[in-house]
Formats: sequence, C-alpha cells, structure tokens
Amino acid sequence: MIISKLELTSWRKIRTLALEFREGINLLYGPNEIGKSTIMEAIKQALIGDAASRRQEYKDLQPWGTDVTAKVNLFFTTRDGKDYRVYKSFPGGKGDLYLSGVHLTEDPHKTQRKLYEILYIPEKTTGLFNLLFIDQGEALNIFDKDRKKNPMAEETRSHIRNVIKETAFRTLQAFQDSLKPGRDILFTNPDMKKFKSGRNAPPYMRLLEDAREEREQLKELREQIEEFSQRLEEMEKREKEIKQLSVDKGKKEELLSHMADKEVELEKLEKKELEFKPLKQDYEQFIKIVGQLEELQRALPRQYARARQLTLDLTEKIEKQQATQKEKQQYKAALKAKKEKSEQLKEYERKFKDLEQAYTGLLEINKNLSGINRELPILFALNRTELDKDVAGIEKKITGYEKTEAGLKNLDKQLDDYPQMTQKKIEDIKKIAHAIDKLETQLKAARSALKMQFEVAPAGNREIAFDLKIDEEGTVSRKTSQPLAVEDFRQLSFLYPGHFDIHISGRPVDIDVDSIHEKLRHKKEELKQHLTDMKVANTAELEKKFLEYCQLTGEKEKTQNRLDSLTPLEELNRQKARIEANRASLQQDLKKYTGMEALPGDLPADEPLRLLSGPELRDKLTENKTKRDNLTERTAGILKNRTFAALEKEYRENEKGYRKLQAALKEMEPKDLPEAHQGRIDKIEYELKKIEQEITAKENDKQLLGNMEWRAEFRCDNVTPESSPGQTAQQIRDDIKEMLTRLDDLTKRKEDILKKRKQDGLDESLETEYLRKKEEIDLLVKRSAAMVPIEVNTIEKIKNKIAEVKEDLERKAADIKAKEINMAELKTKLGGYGAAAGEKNRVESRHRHTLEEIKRELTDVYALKLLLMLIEEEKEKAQQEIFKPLEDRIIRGVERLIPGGKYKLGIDNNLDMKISARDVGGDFRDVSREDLSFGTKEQLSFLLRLSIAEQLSQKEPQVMILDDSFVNTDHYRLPQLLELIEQSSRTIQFLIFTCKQEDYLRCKGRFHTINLEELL
Amino acid sequence: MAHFIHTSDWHLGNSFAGFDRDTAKKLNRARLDAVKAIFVYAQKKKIPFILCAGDVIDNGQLAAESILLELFAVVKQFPHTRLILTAGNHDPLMANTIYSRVSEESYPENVQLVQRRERIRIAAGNVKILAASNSEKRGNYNPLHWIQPEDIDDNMIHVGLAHGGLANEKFQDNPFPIEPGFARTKKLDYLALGDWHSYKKINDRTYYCGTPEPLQFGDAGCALHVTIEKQGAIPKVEPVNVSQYEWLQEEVELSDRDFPGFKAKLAQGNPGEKVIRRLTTAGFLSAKNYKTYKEIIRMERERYYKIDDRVSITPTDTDFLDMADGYMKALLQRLMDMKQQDFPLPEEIFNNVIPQDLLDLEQSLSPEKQAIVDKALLKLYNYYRTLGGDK
Repeated sequence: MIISKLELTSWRKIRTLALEFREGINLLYGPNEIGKSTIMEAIKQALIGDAASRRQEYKDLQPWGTDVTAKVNLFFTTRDGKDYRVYKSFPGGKGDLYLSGVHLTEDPHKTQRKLYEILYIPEKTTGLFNLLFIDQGEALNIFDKDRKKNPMAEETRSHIRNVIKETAFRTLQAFQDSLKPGRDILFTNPDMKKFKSGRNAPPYMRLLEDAREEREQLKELREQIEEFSQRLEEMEKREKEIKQLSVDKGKKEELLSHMADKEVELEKLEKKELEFKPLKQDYEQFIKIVGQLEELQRALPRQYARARQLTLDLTEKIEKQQATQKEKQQYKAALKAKKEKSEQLKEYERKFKDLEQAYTGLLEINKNLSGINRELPILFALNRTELDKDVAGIEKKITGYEKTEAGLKNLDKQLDDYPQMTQKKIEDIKKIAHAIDKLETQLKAARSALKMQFEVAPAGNREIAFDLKIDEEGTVSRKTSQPLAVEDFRQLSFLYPGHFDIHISGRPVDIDVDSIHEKLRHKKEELKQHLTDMKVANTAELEKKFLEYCQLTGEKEKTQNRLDSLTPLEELNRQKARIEANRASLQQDLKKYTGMEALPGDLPADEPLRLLSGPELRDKLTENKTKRDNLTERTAGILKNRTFAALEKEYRENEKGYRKLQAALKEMEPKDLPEAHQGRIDKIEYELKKIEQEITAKENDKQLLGNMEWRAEFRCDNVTPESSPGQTAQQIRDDIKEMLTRLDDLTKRKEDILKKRKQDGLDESLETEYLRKKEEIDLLVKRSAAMVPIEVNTIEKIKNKIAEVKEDLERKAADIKAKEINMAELKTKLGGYGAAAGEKNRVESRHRHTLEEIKRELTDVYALKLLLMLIEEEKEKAQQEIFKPLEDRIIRGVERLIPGGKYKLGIDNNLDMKISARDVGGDFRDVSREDLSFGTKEQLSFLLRLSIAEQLSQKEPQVMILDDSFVNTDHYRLPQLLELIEQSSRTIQFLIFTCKQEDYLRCKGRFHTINLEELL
Repeated sequence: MAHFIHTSDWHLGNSFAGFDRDTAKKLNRARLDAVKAIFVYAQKKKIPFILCAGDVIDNGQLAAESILLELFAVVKQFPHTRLILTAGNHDPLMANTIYSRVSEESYPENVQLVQRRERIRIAAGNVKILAASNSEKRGNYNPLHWIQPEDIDDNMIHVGLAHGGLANEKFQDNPFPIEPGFARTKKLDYLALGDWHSYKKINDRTYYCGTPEPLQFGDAGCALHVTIEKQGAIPKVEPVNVSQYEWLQEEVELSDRDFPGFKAKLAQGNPGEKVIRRLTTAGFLSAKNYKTYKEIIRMERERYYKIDDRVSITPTDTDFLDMADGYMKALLQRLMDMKQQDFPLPEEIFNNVIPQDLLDLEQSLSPEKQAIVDKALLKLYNYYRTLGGDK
C-alpha cells in the first residue's frame, strides 16, 4: 500500500490533523514533543487497531481527561491501483472501510479482516508493522533477546519466509513463462522423447525433416553422379586405350614392312646356301682326311718311340732281377746255418736255467730264515717293556688313593671340634637377635609420642604461619587456615615467632613398655642359651664360626666325592698281580722260543714291530716256528744229498759254457737277426720263385716288341716318348698295327678325291673354290642379319612372324573398333550428367542453408533448455536457501556503508543475522552484537528491515516509518543510508520522522518534506 | 607490330554452389557479359585477335552444350575479332569434352580451338602462335615442352599460349608446370598463361591475366591488352577491367565504445548493384548493444552472401548483471561464468533433440557453446527489457 493521507481528530493531544503523503520519501520534521510518535501510532492503529475494543490501550488514545472518541482516517492505494479509506474511532468505536469512496463494510471486525486481506497479511503477523514502523529508540529491538520486545515473532518470520519464497518463485516462474511462446513443446514435453513431426512440430523439427529429405535427394543424386562419373572414367579409359592401341598398331605396321624386305633377302640367301652345300661337304671331308693323316703321322713316331723305350726298360729290369735272385739264394744258405746253431744253444740253456733256479732258491730261503731269527727277541723285549710300564701306572694310582683317604680322615678330625650347626638353627638364633633389636627400638621410640590439634579461628578467614621442629632435626615452615593435627613419637617444638614457642615432650599412653621389657628379657635369655650351645660369645662370633664350619663340611664333601670317583684299591691290586703273572709267563716263553735266559740290553729302541697281546704273541711265535721248519725242509729238497758248495760250483761252471755259446751265435750271419727260423727261409724261397716268373714274362714282352713291323719312314730316333702308364707291350704293338692300317686307308681316300676332281676337269683347288663361295654366302648372311627384325634370321621364322604380326594388326583394328563403339555407347549414357551435377550443387546449397537454419534454431532450443535447467536448479536452490536474496541485499548494503570488507554477514533460515569481522590476522571470526558499535548495530538493524520490506514489496508495496532511527549514525554513513533509502523508495514508501531535519536535507535525495510545527 | 588480348579462366557455367539459384544464374550471366565486354573492347581498339589460355568452360566434360553455344552466339556478334582458345585442366580435350559434343558446324568461323599442340600463323602483325591444349586433368609436364629452336622464325613475333601452373619450389605440385624462364629459353616474345585467377606478371614476357570475372572472394583478374613492336621487343601489357560484379569482404571488430557507429559503418548498397559481400564481425558487446547488434545483423542478412558472426556478450557486463537480483541474478551470473570459464555445458540439454537417423549431422549442426550461452543471455536480457528496462 501507499499511504496518501492521514486524518486525525481528537487523537491524544492532537485536535485535528490532516497529512498528505507521497510515494517515495516523506520527511516529517518538528521539535521534540510535537507528536511524531503519536502520528506513527495513529497509522498503526488505523491499520491494526481493534476499534470495537474498550481496552485501556485504546482509551489512552482519547484526549487526556475527556470522553471524546479518537478518530483516524487513513487513505491508501494498493498495488492493483485501488484506493481505500479506513476509518476507525477508539475506544469502542467504529471501523469502516471504503473502496473508491464506496462503503465496503462498517463492522469493525469485518473491516479489520478485509484490511488484512487487502494488505496480504495474516492476523497473527501484525507484528510486521513493529518491524517496519521503527519507534524512536527501538531501532535495535530486533536484536533484543526478550521475545516480547523483539518484533521478529515466529509468525512474522514465517510470513516473511513465505512471501520471499513466493516472490522468488514468481520471478523465476515469470521468466520461465516468458520463454514459453513458440516453444511449448519444451515445456509440455521437456525430455522431447515423444514429440511428433508434422504441423505441430517445433520449427527446427520441420527443418530437420527438410534436411532429411534433402539428404535423401543428395544420396540419390550422388549415386547418379557416381554412376555418371564411373561411365566418364570408363570413357576416359577407353579413350586412352584406343590411343595406345593406335600407337601400337602404327608400330606393328612399320615392323611388317621391314619384315617383307628381310624375307626377300633371306630367300636369296637360302638359294645360295643350297648350291654351296655339296662343295661344302666335299671340302669338309677332304679337310677331315688330311687332318686325320696328319694326326697319324704325328702319332706313329711317338708310338714307335714308346715301343723302343719299353724294350730297353725290359732288358734293364731282367738284369736287375737276376742279380736279386742270386743275392737271395746266398741269404737263404746263411739262414739255414744260423738256425742249426740256435737250436743247439736252446738245449744248453734249458739245463742251465734249472741249476740257476735251485741256486737262487736256496739263497732266498737262507735270507728268510735269518729274518725270522732276528724278529723274535725284539718281540719279547717290547712286550716286557710295556708290561713294566703297566706296573708303574698301577702303582701310581694306588699311592693316589691312599693319599685321598688320609685327607678325608684329617677333615673328620677337624670337624669334631665344632658343635652340630644347621642353617635353620643359625637363622633362628639370628631371628631372636633381630627381635631383640626391634624391641629395643620400640622401647627407645616409646619414650615420646604426641598429637597436637590446632584450631584456627575463624577458620578459612585467617591463616597462621609457624615453624615445626621435630627431635631437633631441623625446622619445617607450615601454613594453615584450617584445623591442623600434628602427631609424632618424637619431641616436638612449635615455634610461632613473635607470639610464642611451645616445646612438647612425653610418652605415649597407649604403649605397654613393661610388656616390651618382659619380652626383651625373655628373648635375651633364649639367645644366651643358644650362644652357649654354639660355644660362642655373641652372634658375630657365631656367624664367623658357622662360616668356618660350612667351609670344612664343603671340603669334606669334595674329598669324599673325589675318593668315590677313584678305582677301588682292591681292584688296583688285582690288576697289578695280573701284570706280574704276565711278566713271568713272558720269561718262560723267551726261553722256550729263543732259548735265551735273558734278553740282550742293546735291542733297537725304534723297532717297528707292534706290541702284541699274549695270545697274539703266542700265535706269532707258532707261525714263526712253522715257517722256519718249512724253509729247512725246502733246503733239503733242493740240495738232494749235495752240499750247498757243490751246488754253487756246478752252477758257476755251467754259466760260463752257456755264455760262450751265446756269444758264438751272436757272431753268425745275418747279424741283425738274433736267431733264424724256418718261416724266414720259406719266405725267401717264395720270393725267389716270384722273381723267376717275372723274368720269364719280361723276356716274352721283349720278344713280342722285337717281332713287330717297324716302318722306316716314321723315324723315332729323336722322339722323346711320352709316358704311357699301364700300356703293355701287347697294347703298344696292337696300337701301332691299327694306326698303320688307318694310315693306308686315309691315304687311299685322299688320293681318290684328288683323282676325281682331276677327272671333273676342276683346275681350282678345292680349298680356293670353297673359300670363295663361302665368302659370298657370309656377305649375304651379314646383310640380312642387319635387317629389322634382327632377332629373326631364318626364312621360316620370318614367315611365321609376318603372319603373327598381321594377325595382331587385325586384332588391334577390331579392338579399336569395339572400343570406339563402346565409347559411343557410353557417351549416349552421359546425357543428364551435367543436369544431375547442377541439381546436386543446388540441393547441396539448399541443404547447407537448411543446416544453418537448423543450427540457428538449435542454438535457440539449446539456450532454452539450458535456461530451463538453470531455472529449475535455481528453484531448487530457492527451497534450500530461502533468505539468500535477503542476505545478498544486506551484503550489498553493508558494502556500501562499511566499505573494505570488514564485516561478513549471513542470514540463516531462521532469519537470524550472523556477523563475523576480520581479526588482526585478517581472518573472519564470529562477533557478538555486543561487540558492535551502536551506530553499526543501528545500521545493520535497518538494513535487515529494509531488505525484508523490499522483498515483501514485490508482493505488495510496503510502508516503512522511521522515527529518528539514525541517531547513532555518523555524518559519513547517513548519506549512504539515505541513498539506499532513495533506491528502495521506488517500491517502498518511507515516512521519516525527525527533529534534525537539517541532517537529512543536507543529503542528496528527493524528499517530500512536511513541517509538523506548521501543522500542529 | 602485334596487337592482341590475353585472357583466360572464363569458367563459364560455374555452379556457384554457395548461392541461391537466381544469384548463381546472374553470376553466370555476368561471366558471359565480361567475355562480351572483352570483345567490345577489342572491336573498339581494333584488336585483331583474342587468345584465351584455357578453362573456358568450368567443367568441360559435364557442362551442357548450351553454355558453349551461348558463347559462340556472343563471338558471332564480332566476326572481325578472331578467338583462339586452348583447353585447360577444367575443360581438357578428353572423353565427353564439350568441344566435341557440339557439332563442328556450330563453331563460328572466327573461333579456333587449339587441338593438342599447334603452330598458328597470323598475318596481321606477322605473329606465330605456339599453342597447346591440355588433354588431361593433371599432367606433370610443361604443355609447351615440344617447342624446338626451329619453331622460331626470323622476323616473326612468337607468342606461347598454354594453361598450367608455375614450376618453382613454392608450387611444386602444380599440374602442367611451366618454368618461369620458359619464354626466354625458347625465345618467345610473350607467354600468355592461364590457370591463376588473379593478374600476375611473372617477368617481362610471361603473364597470368587472371579471370576477367571473379569466381570467388580474392579473385582479381582482368583481360590484358598486349602490344609487341617487333620480334625481341619487350611487350607492352595493359590490364583492361571488364568485371561485372565486385566481391567485397568486410571485417568489423566491435566494442561498446564504437558500437553506435556500427550500422552506419556497414556498406550501403544501391538497388541493383552488382556486389557480392561477405561480412566478418568479432568482439564483445554489452547485452544491450548485443541485442541491437543482433537485430541489425538479422535485418542486413539479406544483403550479404555470408555473415561470420563472432560477436559475443561481454561476460562482465555490470549493467546487465545489475538488472537482475536474487535467484535471477544467480542464474545470470552462472551463464556469465559459463561464458568466462571453460565450463562444459550440461550434457542433458543436447539429449533427445536431434533424431537418431540424423545423428551423423550432429557435428555440423552443433552450435558453439558461446553462441548457446549468448542466446540464453539474450533471452534473459530481453525478458528484463520487456519488464520495463531498469528495475
């Protein structure tokens, strides 16, 4: 609403008043007590006052001390441009409402309900007027913790919340609705899944249809063009092929003409060659015969030389073999003689070896016997030495045993001087001594014990400090304000310097000293008895004696253990007796086996013979005896009634004879052989036979060569024969024979040819004729070979080639013809290519245009979808952060008033303001409102109210009444505030009451000023 | 003294695929008009012959015979001007060539089509033309390679005529490469070349004349009026402009500061003017200016062959940002953030828009992210504008 007029009659101290207001800012000024608050109250009562009520608050509206009713007439216009008037009288008065001068209702209650309806406020939120109409001094009431004083009642907050929500949604919704025309489908079918094409389809869909159609057309056209283009390509290909074929054809035709020339030349040549053929044959045969004859004439002397050489070789070889034959016969005779001598020596050797064996056998036996005889005494000596060592060992052990036994006896004797002492007993005595000590300490301690109780009065309010000395040990400073107890057995001194000192000594009343004495006496007696038993004067002596006792018993135990570990004496004596018996038995054996009474003293000390046990020694002695007997027996066998000296002499004589015979054999031929055998003689005989056979064969060959035909014209005197490996005399003879036959034959054939030419009357030699004609032909060949085609040089081949090329030419001509026809056909099929290409270009251009249009349309659709999405998101956000717009508004206001980002503000969902400010470090910390200056609080309070009014004004213009609300605001911020007010005055009507109008009028701004002093 | 016109690359019958049918037709008509203008010039200047160095027809194997016949109709109007044509890589003398599809009788008497390679003597000016037609689309050889020293006669003026690229390192892969020094090596007085669409003097004796009528933006050709005093004299070459249409490219960089003059800056055209225009715009504008800009562009679109619109809303437009508050402001800020930072757009906005069978077009259809966001911002801006401007 916009208030246009206020009329008051008999309202408190105002008799009559008529005020006219304007939209925007109305500045009402006047001195204190002029009635500014009264006017504001009147507006409020006109809007929410209960005219029917007779409550005191309404009675207070009457002029003081009268019964006249207070009357108010408020004229206002609402957002929809309707002019209303509300008339109310108080108390128990009327409540009328008029619309454009027409009476709507006169029932005060109905009037009130209707008013709420018009102003869009629920009855419970009339507190809103307290928020927007700021009474003097009440600027900070929105921060008041007292709910009654704070105009932000729960209902009011809820109302503001609802209005803001509604307006926020309304703005977003209005924008959303504005996007709708022409794009309904996006609203009715936002996911666009089921939209239809056709007349109702969105424009871009129709365009897409076009695009689709164009694509189809293009596809068809492209296919057509592709087909055309293929044909054109084919045509181009044909054209190239024809061009190539024509070139090839031209080349072939040229070739054909060349070949015809060559054919003529070749035919000429062929004829010439045919004529030349018999001459050529004769000439070739003649040349061949002459050649062969020359060959034979060269070969025959060589072959004769070979025969001559072979004859000489054979003669030489026969002579050589005959010499060998003679040598071998002599060697055979020597071998036979040596063989006889060898046999003689072998016989003699057999006899001598027997004798030598007997003699050396005897020498060996004698050596063995002396060895056995030497070994025996050593064995005995060793055994005896070992037995002596054993005896000495046993005796040493016996002495050790006896010594230990004596030591044990000595310890027993020492222990006899000590009473029986056990650990437990000593401990018991020590316990008694300890008990005595304890009792004596108790007794000593019982001399003084005291408990003192200090009461400090009054407790808690006073403190005393004093020193406490115990048993003269030192002073401890204490302090107390509470009751304190000091308790000790010892002597106490309580020193309260400057006031008094108290020294206390005494004995505890609760300790039985006599009983301690009695116990002490009893214990001392008991101890004395024990010490007497232990033969000591005091406990210290007892401990010393017990220590000695323990040492002795320990040593005794050790000695006893050592004795127990030794071999018993009886056993040792038994062992000694056994060794002694062995020694006696050894002595007996010595006599028995060696016959010696006693062993010699100079036996080798390092004798390697091992010491044997008794039975082993005996076995050894027996074995020794057997060997000796055996050897003696063998000696007898060898000697056979001869003496050793006789045997030895016979051996020496035989040895001499044997050596002599051996030397004789060595001197016989052949010396390289130690002896001759029959095998060797047989071998020589075989070789002799072979040599004889070879001599016979060679003599036969020699004879064969001597008998053959030697032609005088083939002299071989100066001819060096070539080697002819493996060629036998027979082969050489046969070769010469065959060569002579061929020679005769060829000579005859040569002569026949020459004779025939003579008969034919040909003077020219065969060779001259041949060469002349040959030259003629060669010339022809050379000429034809140089002609194209050079690779073809026979008449047959050229004929074939000509036929082939002709055929190829025909084929090419046909091919060209076919291709030309094909090209003509293709050409007829190309009609419409240009038109199709043109059409394609046109459709492509149209298609591009369509796509561009679609792109434009799609830009719009996507933009719309983007907006719809963002609107939905903002709506969602509006649900979550209801007071965000309010918060933004206040933040902007604060930035204006208090620049520099000093404060940060937030409005929570309960419409409570959270303020944080920068600390020294620059970080934001929450601040309580008490920490803010009155000015800042005043401004923040106003900003919150202003923002609420702005938000509410979006639904229905609001009126804000400020009754000197900026008394704490400085001259810097006031103009800023007024600027904010002016900005908001487009939607809010301001009624500003002040007594300091100059503060406002100094500022920029369009004010409607009302001087109340003039009116009242 | 020799006197002739050197022209090439007429490209008659071009499809002008980027244009609508009528414009394409007009542009093709203009090509023939340009050719006619050459003849008019020759007649006026009494120039005895015109040499055309290939690519007479845009697609010699496909073009309708009528295109050549229309040309012949024009040529017939100038019976005293001889036209010597060579075939280029666009109209080579190969299968289905338009030159053999029209009957021999239809060739006007003053038209001579060079068959592969020819030595043509022209009495007027004592000129010997050594010309070659291409018989394939690509060839890695100089079409005039066959010229021998004995082709050069005493006291005659020798002119080479061929269609091919330049054989140098920069253009290694050009078909039919012609060495820059070819005219000097072969003792030609002038080498008339075709293939390039813009005029280019290679040296004193070698020239590309370019197409007489632009085929696309950037083409800057003309006909060349060549005068050669005598054998060995340096030819005098005079460009003759016969083009019918002007192809203009405009580039505008926009900002809010210079935006007020934007509309005035756009070229003003006269009805019936023969200009093909292309406009490229770039820069950032406030939402307010952007809206106006878009309206101007929409209105001007018809006058342009193509407009490359790369203008975007300034992502920090405070006036725009101040228009909204509350959740609407948050929404606006999010859009601005999307512009400024590289946030991808939510995938779901693209879902289910393009039908399955056209998904392969998605790539070519997908607008740029900036364009979508700008469009959304524009909608938001328009909304506030319709609400009554400032809030």
